[in-house]
Amino acid sequence: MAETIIKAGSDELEETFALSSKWLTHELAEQTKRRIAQKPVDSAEINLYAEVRQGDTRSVLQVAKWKPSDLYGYSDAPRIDLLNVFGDLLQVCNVIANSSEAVEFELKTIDLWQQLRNLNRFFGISAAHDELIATLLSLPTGARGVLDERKVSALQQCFSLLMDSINVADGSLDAVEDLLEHSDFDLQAPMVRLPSVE
Amino acid sequence: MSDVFLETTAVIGLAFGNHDAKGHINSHIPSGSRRITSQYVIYEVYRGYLRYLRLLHNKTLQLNGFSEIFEYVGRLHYMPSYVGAVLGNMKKYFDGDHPKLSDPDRLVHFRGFLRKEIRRGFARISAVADVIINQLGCRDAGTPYEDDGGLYQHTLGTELCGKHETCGLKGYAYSYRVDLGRIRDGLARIISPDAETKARIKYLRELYRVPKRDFPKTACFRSSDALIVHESPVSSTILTNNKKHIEPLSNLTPRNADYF
Repeated sequence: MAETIIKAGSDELEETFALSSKWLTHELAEQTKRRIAQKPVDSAEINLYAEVRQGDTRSVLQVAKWKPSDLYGYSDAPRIDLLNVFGDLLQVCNVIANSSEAVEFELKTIDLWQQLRNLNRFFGISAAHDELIATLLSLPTGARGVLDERKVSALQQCFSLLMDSINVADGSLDAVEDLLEHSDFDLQAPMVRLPSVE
Repeated sequence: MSDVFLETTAVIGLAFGNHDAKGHINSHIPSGSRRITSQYVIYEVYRGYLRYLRLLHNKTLQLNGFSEIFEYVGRLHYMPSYVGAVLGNMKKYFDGDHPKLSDPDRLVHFRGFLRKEIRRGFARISAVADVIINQLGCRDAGTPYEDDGGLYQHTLGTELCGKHETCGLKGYAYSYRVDLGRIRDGLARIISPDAETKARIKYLRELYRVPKRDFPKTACFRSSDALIVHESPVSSTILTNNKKHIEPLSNLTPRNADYF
């Protein structure tokens, strides 16, 4: 089964497809899905071609090839779910901040780190999200995960910021990482051994 | 109060080390003393450690699991020591702190960590010093950036290295040819010099021998420790963990040195 969706007449198209991004691939898949009236059978093959005309020359190039499961199994990146998880983490931090008893403070801290470990299921949304999640996952490493008031306060500020950030730009990443560093979290904790020139 | 001159290993440790590493290096710097480094040292970090971080980051985009990086590095015809240290640290971190994290997730985690180190580490490199000297006339470099494919690029301008019109080193080396010649002669007297020292003896001469003649880029970084020590202010103490190469050079120049 083939659907010819895009017709174009310039080299730019070929260049664009050569530099295909994750977003573009997603967009093409979405458009293709919309143009197909009925979901094809599972054994079907869906090809997307571009027709390129330059003067009298005409060429057709294959842009993408999908199975129905590639198109119809697709879902948007779980950004909203992640925002909700940041909201949940903020709630745990609020509970820690309000713990007046030392053992309760530690028990809730362990809860926090346990919940934080599940963030790896959100890997892959974007490079900036991967950096953010990697940073958060490394937080319990320094000082064996023992928190103090300053660190809890920084975490509260970070999760407050993140739960409203559907897109994570480098600017907001810096804001979060600055907050964490200034409250003495060791964001380079994995680098235990100094590199040597020997 | 003596100024402290931060050699490449000290700059890397202060910019990229963990809290313990930074604390250890800082304990060697007397409070109130100025921290000095050179543009040449900074460029060496860009061309060395930071470039290896970019190499690892970009390679992760072509692999499926963290364990595959070791196989990749094993196939390289050389083993950059920085790469071994970074990978070893990350493996230990994953095994100890995230034993259940899958191999593909470890790869993404590693990439995320490297992205932070490249982005933020770049700014930290020049911020570790109060004063940056540049008698040698070494170039600055652009800011690393992520291209459309997610690969980290960094315009170092190495194509301008070694050309007497664009590289300050030629003029510097010729002005100080007597000093550098004495250092070279001193190195040549070392019994059983290692490969790096042998290369330094060979390439130092290339720098100052003929004025206004281009030299191979390798002559610059093969001579690096000698140039770093020579450019450091006489009144400062050089802070380094590269005792093997800096100690004989600081005796020849002469400079004070402290080893962390």
